[in-house]
Amino acid sequence: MKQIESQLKNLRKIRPDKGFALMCREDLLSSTVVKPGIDLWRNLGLSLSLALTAMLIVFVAQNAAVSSYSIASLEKFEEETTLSRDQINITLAEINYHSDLASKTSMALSEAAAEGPSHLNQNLLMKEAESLKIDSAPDNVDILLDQVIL
Amino acid sequence: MLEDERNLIIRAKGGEAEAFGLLYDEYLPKIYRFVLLKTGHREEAEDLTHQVFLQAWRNIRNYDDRGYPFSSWLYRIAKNLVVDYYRRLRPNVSLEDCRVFPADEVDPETDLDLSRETEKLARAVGKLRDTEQTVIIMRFVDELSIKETAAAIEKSEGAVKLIQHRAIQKLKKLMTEEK
Amino acid sequence: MKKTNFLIASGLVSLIVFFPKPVFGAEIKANAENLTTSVNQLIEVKDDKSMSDPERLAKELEARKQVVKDALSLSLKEISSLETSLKALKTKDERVLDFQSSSLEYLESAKTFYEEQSDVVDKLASMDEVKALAQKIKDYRDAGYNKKIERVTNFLLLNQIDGLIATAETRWQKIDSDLKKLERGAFVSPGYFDANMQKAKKYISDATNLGADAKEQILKEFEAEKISAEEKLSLTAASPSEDKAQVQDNTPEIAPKVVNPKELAEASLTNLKSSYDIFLKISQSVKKILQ
Repeated sequence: MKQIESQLKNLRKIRPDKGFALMCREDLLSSTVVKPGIDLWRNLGLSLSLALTAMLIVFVAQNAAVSSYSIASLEKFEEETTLSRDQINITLAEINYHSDLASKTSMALSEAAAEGPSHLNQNLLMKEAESLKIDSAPDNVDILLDQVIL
Repeated sequence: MLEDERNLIIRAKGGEAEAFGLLYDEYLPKIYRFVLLKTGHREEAEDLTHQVFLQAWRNIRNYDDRGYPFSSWLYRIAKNLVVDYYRRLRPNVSLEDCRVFPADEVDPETDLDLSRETEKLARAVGKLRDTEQTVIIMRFVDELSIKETAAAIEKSEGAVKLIQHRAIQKLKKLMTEEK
Repeated sequence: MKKTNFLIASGLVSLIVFFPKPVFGAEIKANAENLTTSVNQLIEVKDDKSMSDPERLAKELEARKQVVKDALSLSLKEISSLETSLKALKTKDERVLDFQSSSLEYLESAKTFYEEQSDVVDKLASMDEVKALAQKIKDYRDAGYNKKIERVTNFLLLNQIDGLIATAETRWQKIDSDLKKLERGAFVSPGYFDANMQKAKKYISDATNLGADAKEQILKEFEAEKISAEEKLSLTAASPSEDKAQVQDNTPEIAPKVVNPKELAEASLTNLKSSYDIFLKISQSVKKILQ
């Protein structure tokens, strides 16, 4: 038990990256603009001027940073957004794929189990369509009808 | 607890960013560690940690310290965000894929084997049930009291003791199996 | 300052783009095409009046066998793919763990069934035997396999959708953060994009709820079926003198299905797509502003 406890204490060595810690802090503290209220007047002093200076530094940094937005970054953003949309479309297609697959297999097995050809089979219909010669001679109509039905 | 934490909290509630910044400095390593040990992914841990403090800063006016430690409040926010993360069932990158200790962050005097051993332990912690993980991290890594831990996970102090005991037994078993 | 610039620029760019692995990959699609080909060939043979009867019958026998073999091969590939995806599921949710282990168990038994039929098919010599085997496999699939596989497939797809939702949420947060910076820098009036961002958030929230509802529906169906199967078994055990009917996987008549998980999943994705439409519109507006 003691060994596990002391080993667990070693996990305290886990520390956030310094860069992340700093950026997170800056982002956090600049995320709401503090409107000086009555408390500000009550607490004039070193802590106040430090806070104001920090806000000023952050404000200047933010402007400099924002002005470096590039159209190239936005285009890359659009590219990645489009990619995500594509993924969504792929997943949408997959949703129906399985049920199509199940139907296909079922039909295949029915075909293997049954007598005679399936008259909705594509190849069969295409073959028949090619062999159909459409002409105006009424005598052929019955023959044509027979071909289609049988 | 941070010295004069109560005063800092009052000032932060009043909107003083610098006061909250000091609270952030104090609790960032703990919250980050907690989230990293639960998610096993450094990038996710950074994102979630950022969210924890953002949420805390935005809602600090709602925090009421009557018998409810600030640390517990932060941990509860962290816990809820981690639950949301799991609910989304993101692919879980294991610690094998992202070293928790990049070589240059290890104390040069520390034996490399110790670092590997600690990684093994971190993996074992990751295999515990969610509540057991939470208790272990809070109690032994971040040294919260039983009372603070109970407040954070909304269970009784007795329940925390029981969970802690079970978790330690499981960790022992997992560490033995890994050898 | 450099780091700030880099981080802000990369904030919009370096989002984790979630590339879900398809549940049904290229191998399955190839198998499905083989099946289509062999079915078409069988039909052509059946309908071919140019051959003599003995010749046609011999070809037909082989063609029927090929269809059965391809159907079995496809089923086995389908199972293998689902097993891989199911095993990759990481969860701490007890209900999902139960669903996962139960589904894996079922897939194992289905695999055994298909493998047994695969061993048999080549040895068959008569048309009637092949037809009977094809019917047997079809009956097996209709009796419960298709329904169970659909359930597993939908669940896995919903998991993928969770990942896509997570990406959308991350994107929303980062866009929100960057828009606020633009506002602070007076590039954009405060609240200019608020309505759009709220709309996008609603789409993502709806997508999340629909996905969750779909998963819940699947789990409820699974649990109801499990209870019913257990009850049937206990009833059968209680009255040994009665003929023990084979335990068929007949889904019990549960309360009328209010929702179809597949439709919910589709609706979830459609909502997600709408949120991305808004992101793109915002990006285009920002581009115009910065130009």
